[in-house]
Amino acid sequence: MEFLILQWQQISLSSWVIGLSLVGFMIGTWAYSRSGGNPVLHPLLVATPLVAGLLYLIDMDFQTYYAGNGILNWLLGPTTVALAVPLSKQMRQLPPLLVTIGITVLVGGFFTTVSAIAIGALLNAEELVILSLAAKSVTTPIAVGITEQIGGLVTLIVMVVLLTGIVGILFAQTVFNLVKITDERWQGLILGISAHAIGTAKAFDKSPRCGAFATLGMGLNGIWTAVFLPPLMPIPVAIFL
Amino acid sequence: MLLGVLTVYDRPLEFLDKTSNLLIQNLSLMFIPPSVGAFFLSAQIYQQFPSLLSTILLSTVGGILFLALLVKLLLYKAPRFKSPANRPKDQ
Repeated sequence: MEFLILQWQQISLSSWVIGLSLVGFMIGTWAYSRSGGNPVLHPLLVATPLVAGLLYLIDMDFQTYYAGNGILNWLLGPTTVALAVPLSKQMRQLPPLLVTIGITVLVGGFFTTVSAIAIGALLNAEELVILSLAAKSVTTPIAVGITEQIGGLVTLIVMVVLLTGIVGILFAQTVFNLVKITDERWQGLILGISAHAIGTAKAFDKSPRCGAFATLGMGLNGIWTAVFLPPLMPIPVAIFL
Repeated sequence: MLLGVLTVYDRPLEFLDKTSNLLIQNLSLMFIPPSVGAFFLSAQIYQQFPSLLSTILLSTVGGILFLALLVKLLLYKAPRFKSPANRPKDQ
């Protein structure tokens, strides 16, 4: 019952500021489709600075804007559940691909985490920043939990996760072209592992099949990173920090 | 739970398809409010921003490249050596 009350409280805080997000999204979607799907003009990349600029113009603080978007923030939960629908349609294809998917998730999830810690250390980032970078490729709710466990900054990981997703959707297609990964299933899996939900949204722009594999990659990498990172974190910390 | 039910049930449910499509097509909209937060960070975080951004850029692009090469290796290279038909013939 308390859970339902909390959900209702979040929704009931929604206000007119939702209009700013909607207008930003509509402009972003228009620009994206006019450009023929240019990743630089992804709706998120167009809408975010536009809305931030509007907030500065009307002198509104971020907390008021964020709370006013209560229903959008709440909708992330049902949408995460809805990702199961396209994924269920691909389940028959999975058994022969399980070994490749398994190895890619296990090795890839480990690599994205360790590379972030190593590069952060090489670039002389502060220890607190590096600890807040480790879970960068995992979807936000799981990343927040992991970052709390390993002693990073929760406020920072939210931004790091978003930036990772944005960088992922900007560069993924170039890398796929370079390495000649043409199969949408593998493109989707890689987008899901490396750029979590933002990569998954981009994968659904390509096709439901690509999106379904991105959902799979995102989900499996989230679980895997939550399992290996907190107990193994002292090892890269001892090596790189 | 929904994934399990749909995998077992295995019949098209039009209302579920329509609702999930609508939500998924507008997934980016739901990321706008938290993304806007990146423009309202504290000054202390902004001081670390160059190294933070460089790390995210290099590790994410490097990660995608690594994953793409790994998939390529697993899919296209490994079966060639397993399948006798694809082995290069002796000269």
